Amino acid sequence: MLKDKVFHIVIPKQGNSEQECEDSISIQATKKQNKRIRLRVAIADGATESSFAKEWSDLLTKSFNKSKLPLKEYLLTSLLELRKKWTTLIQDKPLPWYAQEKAENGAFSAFLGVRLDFEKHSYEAIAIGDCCFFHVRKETVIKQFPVKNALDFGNNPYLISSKQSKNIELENYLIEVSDTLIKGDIIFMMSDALAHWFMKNNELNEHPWNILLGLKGKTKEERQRFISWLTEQRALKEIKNDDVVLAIIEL
Amino acid sequence: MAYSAEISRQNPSCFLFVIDQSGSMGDNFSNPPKPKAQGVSDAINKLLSNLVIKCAKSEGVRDYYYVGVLGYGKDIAPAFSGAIAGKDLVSISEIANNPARIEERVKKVDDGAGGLVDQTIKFPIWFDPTANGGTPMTQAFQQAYQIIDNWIKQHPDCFPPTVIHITDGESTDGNPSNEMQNLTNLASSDGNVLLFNLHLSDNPNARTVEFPSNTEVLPDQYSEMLFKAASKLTPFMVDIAKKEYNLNVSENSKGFVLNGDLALIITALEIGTRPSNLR
Repeated sequence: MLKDKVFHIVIPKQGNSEQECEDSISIQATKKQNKRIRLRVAIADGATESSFAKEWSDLLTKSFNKSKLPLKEYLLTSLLELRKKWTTLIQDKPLPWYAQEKAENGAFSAFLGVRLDFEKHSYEAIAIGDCCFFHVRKETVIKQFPVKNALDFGNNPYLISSKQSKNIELENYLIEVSDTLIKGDIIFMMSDALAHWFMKNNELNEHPWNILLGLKGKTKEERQRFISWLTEQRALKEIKNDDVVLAIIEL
Repeated sequence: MAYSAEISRQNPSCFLFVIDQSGSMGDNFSNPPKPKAQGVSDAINKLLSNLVIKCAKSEGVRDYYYVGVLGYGKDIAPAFSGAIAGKDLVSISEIANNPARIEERVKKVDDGAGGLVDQTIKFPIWFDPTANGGTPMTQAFQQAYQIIDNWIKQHPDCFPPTVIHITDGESTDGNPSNEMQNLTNLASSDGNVLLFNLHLSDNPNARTVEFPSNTEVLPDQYSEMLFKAASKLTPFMVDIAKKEYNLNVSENSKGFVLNGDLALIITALEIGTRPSNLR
């Protein structure tokens, strides 16, 4: 199964419940004419300071589906419908005065979407904000985006808003990359707290991907081992206490 | 590193507003021409509203902050109105759910065609204007010390509490420098208490000064006293003041504003209540 090539985990910030986690992920695989095999993985990180951010990040990832449109065009087009859906979600709820005002400011989210084509041995990716993409080949990060170095985290990045009026310059901030893939390549996708740790350690030549590869696993015990490692890194202040979403795609 | 503690429901922070309610606060601001007490009340209510909205999530309001308003003039007492009257520090969710009343006010908004139209907005009120009596600043800071000292004992690892003091004049119960110093000597494991002094001076030589780093431009000893007692802006506040408010500040700038118009007072309140680590 193509989906088995992907390991993923979503963990809320320490002290929050799983229901309060505002990071989300969607993984969708397709076979076309029994030949062309594609995988689409999207992650999003809803902004803590906005409300209904979980709903917004979920909408962004779940909608990352089949489309032949170029990524940027696809995303900008699909946002029209997603914003309507988000507004309908909010309108259906009875809200006190503060929740109404907050909702009027819109929800915000970082986003990273990747389309992989296993027949063409290629990928294309689009990102905004600080959800990060790393392409590792032979023990080296050969491509990373949209954040360029560890010091760039925490600078209030431009995010996708559920309100079009808050995203006048969105197109200017969308970053796209594409490249070829070879057997043995590994793609990592992660939200900002883990990405900051990853980038910081890569800059120190510490090969942080090996730690994540060593921690991945789908059993309950393996998941708990990942959570324990994350909890320890948070306590050591190596990783900021924030929601974490991680996807690892091995070729 | 100081001023880096996470602010969460498990580790909330607090704001205390210490508000001069002496008789002279009935005098007008120059811009807009309305009584200082009314302008300060509007600014505090607006700020409380913004804090509530900042902490609002889809499931309700998260208690990232506890907030108090201590008034001093004829009396020295907690100054909330309505159901939370008499309480010194109140959780932000309790504040959200207990405005004394919700007024409707009119604000000008862009009509999308180059003009302005009136829009009615909801304006919750928790704090009413008062201008009566003397200026017992020293005693007010003794009470503020007690409130913050208790808070820190209960929250020893919190992001340090911020105290924002708004006054138009000189203390009538002695020099409060020592009391202010005692207050800012209080500290959590993440740093000392932060004190902002916003001075609405009657001195005819006083001009507008925002977040200065020295006393050169201050008109009298009262401004100097308030400047000296104020805390330095944290690096995050310096960053916000520069980037979001385009203010000329440095790492030596202090949380002091002299004769700001209402817009500057609101800006100072926003900067003073913007720690960086909301979780």
